[in-house]
Amino acid sequence: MSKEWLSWRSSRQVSLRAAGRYLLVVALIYTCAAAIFTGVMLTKIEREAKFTRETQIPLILSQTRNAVKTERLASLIRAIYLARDRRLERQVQLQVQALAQGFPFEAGDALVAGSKRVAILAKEIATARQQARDSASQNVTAFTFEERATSAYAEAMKTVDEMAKELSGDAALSADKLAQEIESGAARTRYTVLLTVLMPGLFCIVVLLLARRHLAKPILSAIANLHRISESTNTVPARSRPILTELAMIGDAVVSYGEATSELRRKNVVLQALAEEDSLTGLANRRTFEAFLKSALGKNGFGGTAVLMIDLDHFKSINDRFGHQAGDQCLQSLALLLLSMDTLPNSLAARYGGEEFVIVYNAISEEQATLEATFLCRRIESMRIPLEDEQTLTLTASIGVAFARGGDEKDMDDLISRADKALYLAKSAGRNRAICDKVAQREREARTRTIR
Amino acid sequence: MFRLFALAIGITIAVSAGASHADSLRIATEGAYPPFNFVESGELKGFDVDIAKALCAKMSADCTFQAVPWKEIIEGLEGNQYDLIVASMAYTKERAARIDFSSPYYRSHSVLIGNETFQDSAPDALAGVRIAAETGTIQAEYLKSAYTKSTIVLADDQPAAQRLLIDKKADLLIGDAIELLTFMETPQGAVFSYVGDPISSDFLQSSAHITAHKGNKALIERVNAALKEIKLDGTYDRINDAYFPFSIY
Repeated sequence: MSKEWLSWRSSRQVSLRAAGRYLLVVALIYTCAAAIFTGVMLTKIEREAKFTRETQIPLILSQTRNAVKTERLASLIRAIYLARDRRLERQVQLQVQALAQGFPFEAGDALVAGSKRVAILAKEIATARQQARDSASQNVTAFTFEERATSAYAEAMKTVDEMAKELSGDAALSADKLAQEIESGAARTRYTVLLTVLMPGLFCIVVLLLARRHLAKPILSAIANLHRISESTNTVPARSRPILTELAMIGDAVVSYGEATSELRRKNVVLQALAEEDSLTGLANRRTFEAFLKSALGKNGFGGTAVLMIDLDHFKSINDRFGHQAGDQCLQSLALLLLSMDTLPNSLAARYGGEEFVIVYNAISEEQATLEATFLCRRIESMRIPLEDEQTLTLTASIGVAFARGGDEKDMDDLISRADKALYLAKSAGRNRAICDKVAQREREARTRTIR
Repeated sequence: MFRLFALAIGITIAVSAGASHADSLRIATEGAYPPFNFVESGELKGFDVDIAKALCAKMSADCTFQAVPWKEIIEGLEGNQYDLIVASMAYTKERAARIDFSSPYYRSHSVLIGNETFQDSAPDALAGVRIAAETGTIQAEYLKSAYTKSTIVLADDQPAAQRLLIDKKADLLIGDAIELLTFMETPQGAVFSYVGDPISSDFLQSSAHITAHKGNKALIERVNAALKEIKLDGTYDRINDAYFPFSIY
């Protein structure tokens, strides 16, 4: 399952370039969509505004005009009823007619019918009044005409009232409708603007989050790996493979660079070891021994530093008699033995040169060091070195011991030469023995005294 | 930045101010169509003239007026004797082919007037009746097509047509309802009244326009803008109320 997951992950990789291209495409699509959406929206609003200006506002204005005309009609009716003068009645009646004739221009059927009716009633009032005047002598008839005029007036005023009601209702309704349309248009615009403004913001946040996850994280992990390389610790591959191909490549390159570096470092260690060792015996070489001795002298531990200078006895004749191979074998065997001496505190065994070896260690005292050296002589003596033809060979060695309590680097040469002198004494005293340089000194002094 | 902006605004204002420099306009009217246009003590007056003056003020133009007989008024415009006609001219397709029309500045309709003896304005009821009309008007055209059984008596202008009615050379007169209302309020017109219903034809429900040379769209636009302005700022209503007992817009 994890394999499938991994393959799916790797198949989901995207190159930085492609990611940039996707981003560009998304931004372009969004811009176009927003432009089209906004354009359509604004065009719609523009159309609505135009409709309002060209249709609705003129409609409301025309209703206002109709209302004014209706009001005018009412006042003319009042005027004709109150005129009681033939000439004035005629004038007002003509005005009512002309005004009523104007209604069909921009009024509904109810208003036109109403205005027509009012014009007829105005004429009726005028006629009734004229007839009342003509029959002024006969009281009863005059009264009838007067009554007819009054009822015509009442009906005309009622008609005008109805017209006014219809108008105010219409005007209020269309004004309210207009206000509602404007309001909903404004709300739509608000949401559109909010949406088009918020969308890029959200998009930016998403892009930033993605960038942090897929851009910054891999880069930071690569940097952390570079630090690990410089601190010579092991690199850690990213927990999840970056989606962006280039970053994955960089991460991989850093990891493999780290691996190469640690490999190189390992090889360096081996090479260094090779430089410090004697190639035949695997012991430290003379240079390493000197460095070790220097640092040992610098340390102020308990006791002091003992140097055991070991030289195989008659090694030249072994070489001559049994060949160099046998000689080498002897050297290697001794080296193995010396290596087993590493139980001594802070010890180092080294090949000093030719058949000469040395052990340096942190000894308690000169006497203890001499004892160790003597013990070593015994062990060398008991060694059996196998030769090709099932023969064995025995060896002996002479050891010169020198001891220094404390001291520093400058005492190194002195210590070595003292050990050398002790070795010489051991050789001249008959070989296969260990002699301390102090003992040698005492013996020398004794001999001089004897001579004297 | 701000300085640049201010400079831009300054330039814009300067340019727009330059564009609306005071120019002169020659305006023709008939001068024989009371109360819309007429001559009184040697001076052109009337609703049309006042409206034209208000428009000129809004367009910041110096206007000169001249009276031109109705029959020649369109030809004069075509002959570039003047720039605008403000003479209660109704819109017709035939006229629109020759000259350009503004938005309407008032609306009216046609009626017949005559003695009280006439009550019905239907063409059949008026067979054999003499009806007076002014030459070259939409009413005259309408009479010719709709009142084929009546006798049509043509006059050169509106006062002449009214004279025909007063002198009993015609029984009825066709004309604009508002114009004739003014006539019927004069002592000579007092004996006449509207005959029946207004003539119910869309053709005669007409609107009055200002006209300019064919293709002079810029001038028509300016006139329309000024017309809208005087309608909205109350100038129009003041002029209207000086002549008529109700709004004729």
